[in-house]
Amino acid sequence: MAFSVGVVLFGIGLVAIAIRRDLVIKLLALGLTNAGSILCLVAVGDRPDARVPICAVCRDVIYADPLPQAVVLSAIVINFAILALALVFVMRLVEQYHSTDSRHIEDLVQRELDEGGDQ
Amino acid sequence: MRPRPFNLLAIVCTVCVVLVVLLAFHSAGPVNAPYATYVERPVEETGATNRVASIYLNYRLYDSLLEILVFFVAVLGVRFYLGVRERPDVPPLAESEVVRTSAALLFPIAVLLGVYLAALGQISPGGGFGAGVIAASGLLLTSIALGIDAIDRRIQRNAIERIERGALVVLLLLVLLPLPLGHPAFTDLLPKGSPGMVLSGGSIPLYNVLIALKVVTGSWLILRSFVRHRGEI
Amino acid sequence: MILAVLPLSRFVLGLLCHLSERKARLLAVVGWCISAALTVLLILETRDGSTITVGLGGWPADLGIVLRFDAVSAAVCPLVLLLELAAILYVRKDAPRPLFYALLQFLLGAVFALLLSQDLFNEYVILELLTLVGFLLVGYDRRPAQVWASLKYLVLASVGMGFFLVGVAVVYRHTGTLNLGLLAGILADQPDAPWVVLAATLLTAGVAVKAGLFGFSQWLPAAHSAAPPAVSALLSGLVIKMGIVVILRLSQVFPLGATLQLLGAATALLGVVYAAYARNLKRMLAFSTLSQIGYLALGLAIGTPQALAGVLDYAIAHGLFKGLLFLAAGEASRAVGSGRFDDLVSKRAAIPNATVGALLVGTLGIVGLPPLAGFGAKAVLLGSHPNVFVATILVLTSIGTAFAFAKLLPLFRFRRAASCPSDRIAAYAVLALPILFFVPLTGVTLPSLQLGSGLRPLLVVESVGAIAIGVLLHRLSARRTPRLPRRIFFLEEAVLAILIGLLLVYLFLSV
Repeated sequence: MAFSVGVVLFGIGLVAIAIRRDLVIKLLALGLTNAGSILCLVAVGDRPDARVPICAVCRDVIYADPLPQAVVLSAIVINFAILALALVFVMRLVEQYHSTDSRHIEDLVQRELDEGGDQ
Repeated sequence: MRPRPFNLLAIVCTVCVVLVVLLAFHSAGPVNAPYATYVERPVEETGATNRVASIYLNYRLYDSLLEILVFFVAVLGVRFYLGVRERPDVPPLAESEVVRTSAALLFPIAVLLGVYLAALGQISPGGGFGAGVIAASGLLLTSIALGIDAIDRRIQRNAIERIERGALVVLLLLVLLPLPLGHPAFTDLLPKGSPGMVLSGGSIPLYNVLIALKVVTGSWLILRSFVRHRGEI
Repeated sequence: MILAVLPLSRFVLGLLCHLSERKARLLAVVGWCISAALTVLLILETRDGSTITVGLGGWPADLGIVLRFDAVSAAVCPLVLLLELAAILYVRKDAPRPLFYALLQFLLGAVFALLLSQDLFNEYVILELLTLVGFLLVGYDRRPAQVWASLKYLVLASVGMGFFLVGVAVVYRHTGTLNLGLLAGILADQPDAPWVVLAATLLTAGVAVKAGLFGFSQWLPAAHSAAPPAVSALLSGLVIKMGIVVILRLSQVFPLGATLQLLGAATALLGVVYAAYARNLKRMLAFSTLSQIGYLALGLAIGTPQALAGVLDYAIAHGLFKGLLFLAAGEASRAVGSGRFDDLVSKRAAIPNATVGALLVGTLGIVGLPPLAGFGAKAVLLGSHPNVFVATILVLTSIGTAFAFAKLLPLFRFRRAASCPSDRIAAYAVLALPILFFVPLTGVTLPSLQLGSGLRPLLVVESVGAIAIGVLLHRLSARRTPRLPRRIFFLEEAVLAILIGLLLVYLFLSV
């Protein structure tokens, strides 16, 4: 169940990256996509009636799988790092082109490359 | 959004991908793979009752180190690419007395919570990452309420940078230390203690503290750069 | 036990470069020396075909992370060292900030870590580190075109890694392990399990974004052509190969053969078509990288051990000559003031002779003139008995590459021209000499690459013939360059392409 929610969130994020033209919205959607993939990973470690895997002697009870949780910590930090840096570059682009419209920026960059010869 | 053909195609393709993944996942039959590998290991192996901490700070410490490096590179990148043009005077956002007092009350609670999570990461949920983020959020809250200048006067940027780099240096040294002693890198050489006590888990509490320091200083440097470069959030 | 030192030393030095601003270049050289010494030791120990394995922390494969130095690592590590040396020599004249050297150390540390990695999630984290450092290096000069190219790279690579992560989730759920060796064993027992197709699709589609396969890597032309020259050389010569290395490791676990054939063929052909009609030297080189990655994917699809040796050969060879070409192209563009072919040809007197020589050696290498590096590697690939489809695509791509690079012929006239700084000449020499003497050099250092087995007279004829046909076609073709669709390289279209690509990969894997 949670896995399905994760995949759907992933899909919504992807659609938003592809459809919305505003760069900041694209970054928010990227965050949503990553959150969806993280949810998928955590959901895989779930078991019915699982307990928190904090135990000295872990027997006779079903515990949730700790590996996806541990692994997801890295994924969350990486996601944060990516969004921070992407935001910095978006700020630089907005400073230069005074617009957050990705199509507009793409056209301007293309025109610059055609004229300037890309030194 | 006008329903341009491209938009329609993108929605259709995404829906197809989502459906394919969901159908394939749920029709993949019964799962009979081992899932309790780490939970069934004796606690004396790592000393930590929190099995999640035992994984990412002992069995798979390498991944955590790499991800700390990713974070470090991000801090470097944000500082370098935003760096030069800092606004010298940035007024505080909140002018109401209620907000200022609440922020002043909440800040030490946030820091205390961070210390608690970092110190007890091996026996309760939490750990270095959560601790660092909570402490950094406390700093951010205070900067919103009291103004970034007030914070910068009290917390010197040079000290923060030194703590950040120092934490990473110590982390790398700890990880490489077993090599000249004949063990593979990343081995935990400290005594494991008795499970459930604060001083248990070998090097895990040490790593938790180092990671918490790294994350709080790194996050604060990033947030501070954003605030300084553009004005208050 | 020294395996872990190879990447870790780089990370330590990266931190030191950041801390000590004035000694950054010295530290970079120290890093190179340490890695060179370690690589020589490791290659000497594995000359007989054995592998070195280390379980980090002392944990076994089902609990911890395992590093392994095998034939693939032994083959690619020398390439890393050569490219790094050339890059350090090349940028000396520009005196970059210490941050550049620090980022370089982190990039190379990640590359070494990936060459040693045997764990799926470890590969995920390293690939993300590579993305982040690459993204920062591409946007290093902070010019708007570079910033946009690197932002596109970051967003698309992130999406790809998101797919990879979901793939990791599926694999873990059904096997309980993330170690590649254990996975190979599990999958050998149950090759037809229903979850295998889903996992293979997600993992492959995710890595394909970073590996340079067509449909998935629409960021590549912009990013590789906009980056500073030394960065382009490293990206095209080295980082893109890391994606192929991961696909190689995946193909040893999952059955990927037919899909790689089609993806490789599409990449190879479309890459040369775009390269042939590019109007800017660096963009042409970037498109050419795309098509050569298609070569590598086709070689992986063949699947035999000799084909694998051919893939590694060609990866090294391509790294060398593409690196050399990008370095020389950067110098030439800077000397002339523009990267367009019209400007380069009309103002060729401004380009130093050494740079023209470097371009010549690189071009001869990439079109496959015997007995240079490119020919040796292609010979092994063609000699590994590919089926008719693959062989045809390989030949067509050779012809297309010659066709595309024939545009550079007017540049190759040596006359008295501007001088070139000696560092740059040394950088070119570091890469050019191995290209020229590839066959004897690798015979001594890397016997596992089996180059001698590929050298048959028929292949010599075929190579020279392909070059001749390509140049002839270029002479005969009309001078007008048609405008090929460029919208497919925009960000949103690239996301759509990834989605369509994933559906197609799933289709082909489930058949």
